[in-house]
Amino acid sequence: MSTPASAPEASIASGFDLQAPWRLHPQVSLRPESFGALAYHFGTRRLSFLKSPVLRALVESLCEHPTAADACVGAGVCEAELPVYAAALARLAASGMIIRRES
Amino acid sequence: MSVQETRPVAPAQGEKTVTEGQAPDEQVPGAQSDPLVDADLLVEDVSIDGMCGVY
Repeated sequence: MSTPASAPEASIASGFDLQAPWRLHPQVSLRPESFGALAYHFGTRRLSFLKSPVLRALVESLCEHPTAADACVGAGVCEAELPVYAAALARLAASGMIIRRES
Repeated sequence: MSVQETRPVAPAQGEKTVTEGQAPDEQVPGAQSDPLVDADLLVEDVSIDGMCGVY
């Protein structure tokens, strides 16, 4: 699976490392909804709405890919949309919903 | 009887005007959406403070 060429730029723009492996935090429950998903962190008691089914699929598949960039490709995110989803992942990382995993 | 046409004053450069029924980004030609702004559309953090005891 090829990594998008614009991944480094998207990483820099969002401050999120798309080239690193990520995963859903073990204390986070992801509940699929028609609009995307509800993410609830049992540790921090934070609740977030993922308002895109693509973003839900992306977050769910993070642990299955070597990098977040590959997960984006697998979820069907095109290069033009990559900065937006990178920024969304950055927000989820900032709130602790997703964490880096050991390779 | 002559009818004088009044032409709307063009906004100064950098200024945006919001017309009813139109999204702000549609006003400015070539406006680029900010990924950070668009990310707000994808992820929304909800505050559930004060819901202690609600099961």
